[in-house]
Amino acid sequence: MIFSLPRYARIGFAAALATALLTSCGGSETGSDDGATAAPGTKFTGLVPFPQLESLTRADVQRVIAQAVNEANAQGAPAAIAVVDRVGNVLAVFQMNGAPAALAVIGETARTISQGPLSGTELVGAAGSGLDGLSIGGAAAVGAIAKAVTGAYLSSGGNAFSTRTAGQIVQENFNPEETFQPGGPLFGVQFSQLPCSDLSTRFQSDNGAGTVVGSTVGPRRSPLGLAADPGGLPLYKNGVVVGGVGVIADGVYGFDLRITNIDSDTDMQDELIALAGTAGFEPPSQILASRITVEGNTLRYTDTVDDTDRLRTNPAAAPGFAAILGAQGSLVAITGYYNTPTGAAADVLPGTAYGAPASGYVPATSLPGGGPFQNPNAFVLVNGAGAPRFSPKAAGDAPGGDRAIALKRREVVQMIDEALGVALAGRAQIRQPLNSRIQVTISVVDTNGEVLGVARTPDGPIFGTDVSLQKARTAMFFSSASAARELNAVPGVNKLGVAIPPLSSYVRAARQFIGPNALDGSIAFSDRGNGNLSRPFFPDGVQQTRGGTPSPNGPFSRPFNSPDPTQNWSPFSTGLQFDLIGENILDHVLFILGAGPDTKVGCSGLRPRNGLAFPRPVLANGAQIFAGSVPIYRNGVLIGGLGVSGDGIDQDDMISSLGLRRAGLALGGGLGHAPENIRSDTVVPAQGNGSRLRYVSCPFRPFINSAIQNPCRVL
Amino acid sequence: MRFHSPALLAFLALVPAGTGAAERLSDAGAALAPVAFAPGGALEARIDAGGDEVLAVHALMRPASTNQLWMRDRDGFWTEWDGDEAALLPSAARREGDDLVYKIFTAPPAGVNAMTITLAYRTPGGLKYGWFDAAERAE
Repeated sequence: MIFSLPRYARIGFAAALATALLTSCGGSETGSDDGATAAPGTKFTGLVPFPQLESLTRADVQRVIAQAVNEANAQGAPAAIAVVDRVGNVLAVFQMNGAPAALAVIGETARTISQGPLSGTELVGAAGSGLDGLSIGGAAAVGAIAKAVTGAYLSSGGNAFSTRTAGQIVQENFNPEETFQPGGPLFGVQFSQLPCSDLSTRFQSDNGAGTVVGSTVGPRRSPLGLAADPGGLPLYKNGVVVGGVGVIADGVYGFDLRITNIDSDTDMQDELIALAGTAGFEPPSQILASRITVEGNTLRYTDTVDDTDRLRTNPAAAPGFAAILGAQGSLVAITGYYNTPTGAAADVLPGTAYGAPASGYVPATSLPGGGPFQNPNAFVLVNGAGAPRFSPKAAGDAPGGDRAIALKRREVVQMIDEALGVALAGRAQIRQPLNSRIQVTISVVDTNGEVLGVARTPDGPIFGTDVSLQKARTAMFFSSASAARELNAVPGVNKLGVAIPPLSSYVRAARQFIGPNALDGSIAFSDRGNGNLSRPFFPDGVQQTRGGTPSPNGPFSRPFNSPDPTQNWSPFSTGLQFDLIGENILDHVLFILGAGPDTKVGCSGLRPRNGLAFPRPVLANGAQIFAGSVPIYRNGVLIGGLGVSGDGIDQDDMISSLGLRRAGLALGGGLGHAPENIRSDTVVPAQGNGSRLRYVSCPFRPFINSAIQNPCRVL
Repeated sequence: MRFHSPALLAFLALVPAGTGAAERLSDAGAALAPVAFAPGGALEARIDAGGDEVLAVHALMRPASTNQLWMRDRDGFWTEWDGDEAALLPSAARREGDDLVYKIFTAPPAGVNAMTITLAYRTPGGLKYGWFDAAERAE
C-alpha cells in the first residue's frame, strides 16, 4: 500500500537513501520487506540479556509497608497499602487504623468529586456512567491492589511507570487537556488484566469462597483492571522490577485530569505515601517515566520534583514492621486476593522472581526438550507445574466453514518468531537508554478466540501479556462476519446502579456512522482502526471542526459532552469496551464483598462461537482499543488475529503487521494480511467529516541497525 | 499427551453437576452450572437426556488458563483433541432413567485444580453439548 509522505518524511527518506548509498548496507526505505528475506538490521535472532532473578523477600515487603505507614502518619492520612510482586501476586494488604474503608471509584456528581480531601476536583463522568460514581463499601484496599498491580505491570527493566503515568496516557487527549491532540497512546488499557480474563490467573488463597480457579502462578488478574489514580509505583531491586506498591488514603480511585500541573501535598497523599514505601526499592533514575518521551510529550512519574523532597519523613528511620502491626493497623484479607490465616507478620508473603517457574514466566529454551521457537529470546507462560500454558497449536476452527484453511501450528510458530525478530531489531519508544530494543508480548488467536500461541521478549512489561491477547481477539472479532449479530444478542444490564445498554446500540451507531456494512465481515479492522471508532472524538482528539461544530464521538465510544451527563465518556466509562465487561467487574466486586459468586472465566455476555472447541466468549479477556494488532487472512478469508503489546503503539503496529507479512512470505499458502480494498483505512465514515480510519502506522526510523524509514509501506 | 487419572480413590465423594435437577444439553451448546469438587476428589456429572436416543457420549476438559483441550476415552484416558468433531472419541456414561451420568475423573490430573468440562452426546440428529466450570473447593 502506498502512502504519500509528508515533507519531513521525505527528508528522512533522502537521508536514509544517502546513508544506504554511502554504506552499501543494503537498506532502503521500502527494502526490508519487498522480498521474502528481511533486510539486514530488521530482524534480530541473536541473544539479548535476560532479566536477573530478583524478588521481594518477606522482610522487603514489611519494610515497604512500614515506610509507607510512617509517611501516612506524618501526612495525617491513614491509608490502605498493598504490595504485589512483578506478576501480581498480592504479598500483603495493610489497613491502617482510621483508613477509609469505602472506595468511591469516581465522584458522584458530574464533573466534581463530592467527598474526601479531593472534594471539588473536576471530573469527566457522572454517577451511573460506567464505573463513575460507584461507591464500594469496604473496598478501599481493592483500589490499593489495583494500583500496586499497575505499578508493577507497566514497568520493566527499561521503564518505570506509575499510575500517574497511566493516567496521562489513557485520556481523551495526549497530553490531557491539550485539545486537538490524539487520545492517549494506551487509551483503554485500564480495562485489561480483568477479573474475568481467561489468561490472567486467579488465586489459591481466596478466603474459602470456593472458587479456586486457574494455575498457581501469574500473571494475576487485577480486581478493577489497571489504575490511573496516582499512588501506585513499581518496586525495584538491583535495577530489576520486582513488584509494586499501591496506596489509597483519600478513598477516591480516580485520575488526574491536569497532568501538567503539580498537585498540592493534600491532593497527592496517596502518591507521597507510596513514594516513601519505595525507599530502598527505587527504579534506576535513568528509566523513570520522566526521562521518557512519547509523541513529543515527556511522561510523568510522580508530582515530586525529585523523589524525596516532599516527603515528611525519612523512610530509612521508619519503625520496623513489628512495631506497627497491631499498633498502627492490621493485615487484612481480601477475598480472592490475599489471606491472613494468622494475622501475624508471617502472613506477609515473599514475591516470586520473574523468569523462575514460580512466576509463571520462563525462557522457552528452559522447557524440557527446548522451546518451540527459533528465536532464542522467547519467554513463555507456564503453570504451577512448570508446563507451558499456551504452547503453539493448530487452530480447531473452520474459517468460512472450511477446516482446511484454519491456521496451522507451523504458521503460528512462524508468526511469533517473525514478530520476535522484528521487535528485537526495533528501537524501543518507552525504554531507556535510547536505542534499547523493543520488548513486547505476542499473541495469536483463531476465529473462535482460542489462543494458538503466546510468547514474549525477555523483559516486556507484564501488562502486555493480557493486552496482546485482547488486541488479537479484538482485531479478529470486529473483522468477522458475525460480529454485529453476536453483539446484537447481548442485552442491557442494570446492576449496582450502573446501567449498561444493550450492545445492539453500538451496532446501530456503527452502521449509522460507517454504513450498513459495518461489522458484517466486509471490513478488516486492525485495532488502530477499531480504536478510531472508540474515541470520544472523530477524528481522534479533534474536539471540533474549524467551523466550530463539535466533532462526533466514535460509534463505539460514549459521547464527551452529552446533555445527559450519565452518558458521558470517561476513562471509567469508555463505551462498548466497558459495556462488554462492566457486568463482570461488578460481579467481581460483589464477590470480593462476599455478596455473590465470582465472575465467570471468560469476559462479556457474548455466546461462545463454538462451545465444543472453545466454551468461552470470543472476547474472553475483554476488548482492547489501542493500536497493535491485525486480523489474519488466508486468500481473503479471515482466519485469526495477531496482537502485540508492550512498547509504543506504532512499534506494536509494526511488529504485528510485519510479523504477519513475513510469516506469509516465508510459508506461502495464502497466509497474510486482509486484501487492501477491505482494510479499515479504505473506510471514510459517513459522519466523519471526510476523515478516514487507519489500519497500521509504523514509527519512523524504527530499527536500531537499519536506515529503513517506513516498513509499513510494503504491506 | 495421554494420561490416566488414578482409579483407586473410590472412597471420595462423587459430586453431581449442579445442585438442582439434571440439566440438558443442546444443539447450540448450553452453559451449565459451575461445580466445586473436593480437593483431589472425583467428578461425575448428571445430564438429562430428555428421551433422546443417545448413540455415543463425549467428555472434554480444558484446564483453566491454558489452551489445552483434552478428550476422555471410554477407559478414562485423556488425549489431546484438535477440534475436529469427526475425531471425537467416545467416552463413558451410565444411564439412569432419562439421565446420563458421565464419569469424568476419579482424581483431577496432576497440577490441574480448575477446568472447563464440556459434555456431549450424539443423537441421530447430531451432537448436543454443554459446558461447565469445575474447580476444587478451597478447604
